Amino acid sequence: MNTPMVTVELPHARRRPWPSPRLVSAEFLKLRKRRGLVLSTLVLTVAPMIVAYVVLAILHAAEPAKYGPPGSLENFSGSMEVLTQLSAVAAILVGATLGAGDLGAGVFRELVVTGRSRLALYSARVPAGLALLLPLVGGAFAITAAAATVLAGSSEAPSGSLLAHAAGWLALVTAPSFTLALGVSSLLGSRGTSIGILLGWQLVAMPLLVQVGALGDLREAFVDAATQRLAPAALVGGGVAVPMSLGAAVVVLFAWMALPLAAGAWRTCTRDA
Amino acid sequence: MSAPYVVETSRLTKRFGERVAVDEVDLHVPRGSAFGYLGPNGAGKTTLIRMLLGLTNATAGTMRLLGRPVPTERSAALARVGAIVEEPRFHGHLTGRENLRVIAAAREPEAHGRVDGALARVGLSNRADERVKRYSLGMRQRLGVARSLLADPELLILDEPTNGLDPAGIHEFRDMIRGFVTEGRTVLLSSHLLDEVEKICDQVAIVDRGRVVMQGSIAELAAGGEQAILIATSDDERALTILAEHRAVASASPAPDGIRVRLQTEAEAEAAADDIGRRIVLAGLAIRRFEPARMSLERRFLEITSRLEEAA
Repeated sequence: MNTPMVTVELPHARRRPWPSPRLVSAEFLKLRKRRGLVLSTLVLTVAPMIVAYVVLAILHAAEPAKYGPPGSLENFSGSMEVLTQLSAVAAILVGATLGAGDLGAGVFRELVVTGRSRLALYSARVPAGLALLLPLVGGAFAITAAAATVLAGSSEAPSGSLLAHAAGWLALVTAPSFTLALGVSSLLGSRGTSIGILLGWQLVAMPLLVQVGALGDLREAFVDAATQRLAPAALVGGGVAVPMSLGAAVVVLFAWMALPLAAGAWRTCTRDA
Repeated sequence: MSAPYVVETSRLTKRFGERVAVDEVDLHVPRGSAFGYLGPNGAGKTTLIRMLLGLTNATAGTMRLLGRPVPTERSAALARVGAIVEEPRFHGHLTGRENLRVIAAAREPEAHGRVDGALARVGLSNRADERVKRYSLGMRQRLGVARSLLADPELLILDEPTNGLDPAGIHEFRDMIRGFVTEGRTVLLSSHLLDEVEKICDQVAIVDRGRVVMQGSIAELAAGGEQAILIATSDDERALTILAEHRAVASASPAPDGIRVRLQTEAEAEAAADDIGRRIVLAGLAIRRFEPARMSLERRFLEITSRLEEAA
């Protein structure tokens, strides 16, 4: 490679804090080549929905009198409850891997040495992570929605507007988990520790705290409270644990996405590489 | 117009709490040279490189890379700098080619077009599509060089690049580095291996306990500031008598491989050497050896560092 050396003025793109499509594509490459992660995400999203509706179909075929059609609004509601939880877990895995992957492999310093803005390196992770996560979660939702509608038989099927609302709501539940994991793992620099902390928070601590009435209005600050407020009414039949205004829910959701991302960005820009 | 020095530092300092890792270093790396940054382990070599590359902040002092002040214009400067810092690291789950593509994405668009050439240059074309976790240390080092070539660098900064390589790999690496210099690139090579620096570099700075204690060409440093020649003749005893009478000779003493002749500091070395040779021949002696006396860099290095230890 005897290329002649030419000293050129640096393109402005190198100094910009936002990522180029090439950077996003490189981040996506790093993610999609992690077979274990992709497999885990599939197992957490698409696989349970397929298994659930196959089992329901088999049961219905075996004993139609005892087991109703696998579709229906009721089953859709139940599968959405599972899917939102599992999608949040998948989002944590993907976010934590993106946040600490370069640091863990020791490649972060190799990226910094290119002179590219650290903020651009960091922000490229957001679209790359969503590009992996959302199609898988979306696929799982499509399976759920299709099965609940097509296999509803004589039962009430979810309406089109409910499906659209539920799809948007699923994205709203998944995105904050992803950004939280990305921010926290970038802050801590450790994938394993971040996953442990966030699963504990997401699956145990936060659901418990939301139920503690003694915390009063403080509970509005939890992302679970906000996502429940934004959930389609047909999916949260028992009502929400923390009544709050729509505006407050939107602000809380935004804060849960923006603050961890900002903390991660700050640490990425200031840490010794 | 290109700056004459690709790296310039002035009173560059890095402290970790009370400990001073880099102590007011003034460094000037001339363009187009292979420059050795030589010092024992823990002397602050890697810390200086990390500051130059923006991996850690300096506590005090200024620096310029390729004529550009850093950190102000670091991004622009690093666009034409390739570097291996300590052991080169990669994503083990990606292939060699994919790892280069990841780095190329962070560089200018043309970097993508350099991936295949860089792999070929380091002899990894055949293994480029294997996952890096299956690579040997030597292959990783070569992939690290390929990665640094994606910048089409004017300056290559290599921190202990031959660590872990076998003798054949080290030899190959030396040839590669000299090849880069021949192409007009500058190589800043940090090492604790005197032999390596002596064989690869033409300029050197010796660093000890965070301070640059000496800087110059290998020949200058090896000469240790004195002008000396090594002579062997058919009759060294008679030659010593002749030398003792020569006004340009400060001292002449028997050495294991002839006579070591130290010239007066004000003497014109070349003319004095010519005259000494002429007189020995006129005296009827055969000259078997006549060459500038060089201390090995190792001896010079030990001399400098032991002097520092005594002073401490």
